Amino acid sequence: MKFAVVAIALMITGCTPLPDSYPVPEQRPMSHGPDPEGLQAFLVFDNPRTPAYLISDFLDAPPGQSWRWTNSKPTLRLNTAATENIRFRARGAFPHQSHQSLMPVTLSVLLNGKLLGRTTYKAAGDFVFQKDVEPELLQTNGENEVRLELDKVFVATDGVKLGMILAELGFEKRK
Amino acid sequence: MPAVFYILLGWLLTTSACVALGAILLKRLRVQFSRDESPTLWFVTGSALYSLLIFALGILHLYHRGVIVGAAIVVIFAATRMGALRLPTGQLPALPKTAKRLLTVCGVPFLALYLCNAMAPEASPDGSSYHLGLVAKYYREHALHPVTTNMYAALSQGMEMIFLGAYAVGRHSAAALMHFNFLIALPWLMVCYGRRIGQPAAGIAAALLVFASPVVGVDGISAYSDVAAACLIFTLFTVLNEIEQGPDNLGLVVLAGVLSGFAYAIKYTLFPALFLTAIYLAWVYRARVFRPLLIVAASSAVSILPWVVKNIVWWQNPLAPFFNHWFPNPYMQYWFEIGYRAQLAKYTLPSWKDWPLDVTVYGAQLTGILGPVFLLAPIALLSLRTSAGRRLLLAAFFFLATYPSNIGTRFLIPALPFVALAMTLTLASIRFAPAVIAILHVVLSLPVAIPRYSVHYAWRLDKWPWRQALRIKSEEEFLNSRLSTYAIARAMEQLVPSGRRVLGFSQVPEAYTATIYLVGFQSAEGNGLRDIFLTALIKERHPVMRLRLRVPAVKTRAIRVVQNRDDSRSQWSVGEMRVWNSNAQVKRAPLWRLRAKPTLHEVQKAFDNSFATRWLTDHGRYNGMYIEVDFGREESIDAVELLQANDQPWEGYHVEVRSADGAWTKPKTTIESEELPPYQGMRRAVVEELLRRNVQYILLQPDDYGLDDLQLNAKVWGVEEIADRGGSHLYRLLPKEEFEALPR
Repeated sequence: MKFAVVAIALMITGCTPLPDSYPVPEQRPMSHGPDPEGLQAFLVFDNPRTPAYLISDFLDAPPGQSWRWTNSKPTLRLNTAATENIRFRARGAFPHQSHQSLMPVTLSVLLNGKLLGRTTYKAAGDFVFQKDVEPELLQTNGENEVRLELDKVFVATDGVKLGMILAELGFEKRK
Repeated sequence: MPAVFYILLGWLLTTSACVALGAILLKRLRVQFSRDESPTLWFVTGSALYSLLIFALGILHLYHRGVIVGAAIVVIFAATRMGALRLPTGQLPALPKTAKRLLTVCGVPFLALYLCNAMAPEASPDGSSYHLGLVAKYYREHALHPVTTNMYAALSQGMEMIFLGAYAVGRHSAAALMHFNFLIALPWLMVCYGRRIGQPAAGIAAALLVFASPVVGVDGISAYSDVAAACLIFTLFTVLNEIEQGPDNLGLVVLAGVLSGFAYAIKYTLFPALFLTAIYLAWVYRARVFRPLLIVAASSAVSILPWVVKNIVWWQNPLAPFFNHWFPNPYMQYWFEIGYRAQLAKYTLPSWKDWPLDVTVYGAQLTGILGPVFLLAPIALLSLRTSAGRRLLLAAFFFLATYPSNIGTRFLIPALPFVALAMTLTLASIRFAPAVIAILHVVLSLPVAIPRYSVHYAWRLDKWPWRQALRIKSEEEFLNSRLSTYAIARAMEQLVPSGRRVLGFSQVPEAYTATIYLVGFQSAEGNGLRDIFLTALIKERHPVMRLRLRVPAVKTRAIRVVQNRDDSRSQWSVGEMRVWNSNAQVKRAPLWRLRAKPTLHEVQKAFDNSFATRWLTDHGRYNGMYIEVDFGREESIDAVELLQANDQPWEGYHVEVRSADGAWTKPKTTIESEELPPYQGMRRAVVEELLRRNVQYILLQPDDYGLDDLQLNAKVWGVEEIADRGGSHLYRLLPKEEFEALPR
């Protein structure tokens, strides 16, 4: 019994009451300022940093808009650290109003200048292009250039070339 | 084979110390059982004392091999000197020859199967992660100390103390063998019980039903505690029956108290042992029950109090890791507890209609099977016709009472001996029926038979790893084949410098690494770190909704925002709280003191200027929750700003200010809301927050949420993969200077 009392007393010496209030903690340096991150592997077009990803052939859009019109060869950069078990996926649309009479349209996707895949869409509407990516097509230590090429585009009355609408695209892990 | 030598030495020495302590106790109490039962009862009762002894050594920082071995030798020597180990002369009625043969033919193959599995490297999920993970940690640090980042360290650890004694000499397998002792003690005590009540055949058949049961076997050879719990409870039952026969021996009452207390020390869910004991005593002693009850209270307290006091002191909750609503503390989250309990009460079982077949035949949802013969368990109710049957079913009822709190198959084990005996007692009136049922069960429980009816991943024994048991084949190879995360645990050990912390979201075999590994769900700290990590991945958690609560300009010493809604299904969370005056933010000052109700200890997360952290109430919303700033002097203010996630209501808050007399007044509050643009740099902000919170590494297993993103966007996070073992990835979080030096 004496032993138990000593043991319990030893434990109680470690007892500390909780405070009833706390001081202001160290302030973290977060703000709405420039983004310290690099480019990501997947781009959703409502990302405020979208312009940083785009290289050419995208039409302007207001910040935060969740989709973009492209011209015939939209090109952008994406960054991925992984090369194994990767799939490329793009989600977009050929609007009925503009593209109905234009179809079929062939979409080719090039990664770092090499052909990843090609698909012909026979009807207007939403589309998802996806294809597994061989590791040798990707660069891990730098940006990967992604180019989407269309064999034809709709030319609006004001002369603007409208290739397709893109909502999101990039690299994902394959399950 | 030095490893085998140490395993056997650790096992035998610890077993002998338990036996010696039990023999001394029974001698001092002047309690004597039959020659057949005595060594087993010495072991079981001695385990309670040995566990207590190791607990005390831990508190005194004496976990050294020499001390533990020395203590065991002293105890064995003392028992020998006292003559306590002399076997009594009285014997139970002899076993019929046929029954003996049945026991040998059916029992010996399972005994061999269990022995070689118990001696093989410990590879059970919970045994290798926390049961022995904690034991290894305590032993490494030579003391019992608070491990408030692991909720399992808050459970009563009576069994872990026994493991520790054996681990000190023979490491993991010696510890598992201590559980194996209870696996062989339990059926033997059941056989003896059958002989006591004049039903030896029923006793043997029931013992085989329990011993060969697949879940009992796999649990009993692992560093778990369920079979020990069942054995202990059955020993208590034996003692209670003995009290009924000889109520004048108060030594038996003390013994019942010791065993009831140790039941709690082994497993919280065995607390009904105390009630069962009380009911038995009330039945036996009637009006004279007060003294025996006091004796039981005192003798059980010896085993219970150390764990309760430990939890009060280290966890601020005597019943940690549960009941955090009654005992709020910074170590466990009530919100997590609600979900955790709900999960244990349901697992993935689609419906209760599936329960009987799942626990007996399939083992698909509830982990482990009792064996198809237990589908006949309802016949146990017919034993109510006999007095033994009524006693057995009363005990079964008590130990099934806590089962709904965790419906895993192994949580049926403590009640199983009683149910099995009641079943075979019912069948005893039909000649050969108990033997037939036992043989059928044994055949169906053979490792080759089980896959024919259960799901292939049911938790069971499937091999005879005798080469691994004797360490003829390498331990490393066996563990790699059994534990998918063993390799990454070893990689952590090699690659993570001592003292650095690794955050993960699933268990790894911590018994095989000395690395400090925090599992997200195992503590309030872990859950908080997980919440921060997920903020980078889930946009809906970003505090982009700005609420400005305007009040008439006032000078005050303190201000609070009170939440007015009642909704038990959702928490209130605040990313940042800021105070304003005349369109300028009142600068946060060292004089400020922050308070909140509830979850005061998390309040700083709403004042750290980080969008990666948030204060969560840890309770469902109720009117009157608040978050408060005491300025420490008078401040002029006219608005409070809350930055919250989009899932938070935009209204239902008011501001209160403290007047000069200390009373809180409620000025008219007007709420303006505005959605802010998304934040940038959240991934990196999360990494820096984790580093600030002393986490330097992160481990993601294949099923962990966020692994894909970390792999794809390693540079965005600012992490470096340093190991990939079997799909588990270990990342080093790059400190700020290294991240900023990365090429863009």
